[in-house]
Amino acid sequence: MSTLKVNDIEEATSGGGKIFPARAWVNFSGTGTISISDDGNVGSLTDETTGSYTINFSNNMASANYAPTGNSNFNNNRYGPYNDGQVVPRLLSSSSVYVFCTDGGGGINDQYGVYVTVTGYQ
Amino acid sequence: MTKYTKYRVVFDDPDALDEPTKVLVPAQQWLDEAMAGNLPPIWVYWQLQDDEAKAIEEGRHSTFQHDPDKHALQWTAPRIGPLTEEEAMEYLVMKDLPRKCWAEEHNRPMFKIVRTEEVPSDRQFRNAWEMAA
Repeated sequence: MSTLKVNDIEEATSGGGKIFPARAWVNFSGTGTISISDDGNVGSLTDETTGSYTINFSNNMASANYAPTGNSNFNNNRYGPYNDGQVVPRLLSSSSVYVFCTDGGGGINDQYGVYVTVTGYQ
Repeated sequence: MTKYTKYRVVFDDPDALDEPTKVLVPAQQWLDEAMAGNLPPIWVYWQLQDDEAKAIEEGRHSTFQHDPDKHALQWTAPRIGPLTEEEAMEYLVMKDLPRKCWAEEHNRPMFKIVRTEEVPSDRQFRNAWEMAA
C-alpha cells in the first residue's frame, strides 16, 4: 500500500474549492459489552455509563474546535418508533469526544448501532 | 478479516467515584498499528495533554491550538517499535485513561486490564461493581 501525502485537496472543477475529509470515524455497537465494528483514527472507546461513550482518537486534533456528527439506531428494527437515535456531542477535547445517545423519545439509552464522524483540522 | 481484541480496561475515575465503573475498548486498527511498531513515544501524547490541560486551567480552551511542532510529533517522532498485545494495552492505559488512575497511589486499584469475557454483558448492578486487587 502506498501513502499519498498532500497539504490540501481541491476540486479540479467548479472553482477549485477545498475538500475537508473526515479526520476520525467510528461505527460501534453500544449495547452489551460494547464493541467497535470499524473505525478510522480511533484508539479506543470508553463505555462511560448508559448511552454515554468517550471516543478517544489515535492522533489528536489540532484543537477542540472540530465538528463531530453522528446518529444511531436505538434498536435492531429497521423502521418503527424509537429507532431514530440521536448522538449528542458534549465535552470536546483535542484527544477525545464524549457523546451521549438518545432514543426518539428523548431518553438516554444504549444504542444498537452508533455512528460518529469528526471533521476539522488535524 | 476483522479480529477482536482479547482485552478491555475496567476503571474508575478517582475524581468521580460515584459514577459507574467505566470500560475501555481498544480499537483493533490501533492495536494492529501498536503491534506493528508504528506508535510514537507516549510522552508525545502527554505533552499535548499537558498543554491542553494548562489551556483549560487558564480559561483559554475555546481558542487553544496545539503547538504545530509538538502536534506533528505524533507522526514524525521516531517509532517505538513493535509491542505485544499486553504492552499495547499498558500503553493505551497511559494514553487514554485519566492520568490520576494510573500515576497516583490510591487505597484500592483504579483500573484493571481484563479479558473481554470477564466484563459482564449487561449493566445490571454496574454501580456496585468492585475491582478485585
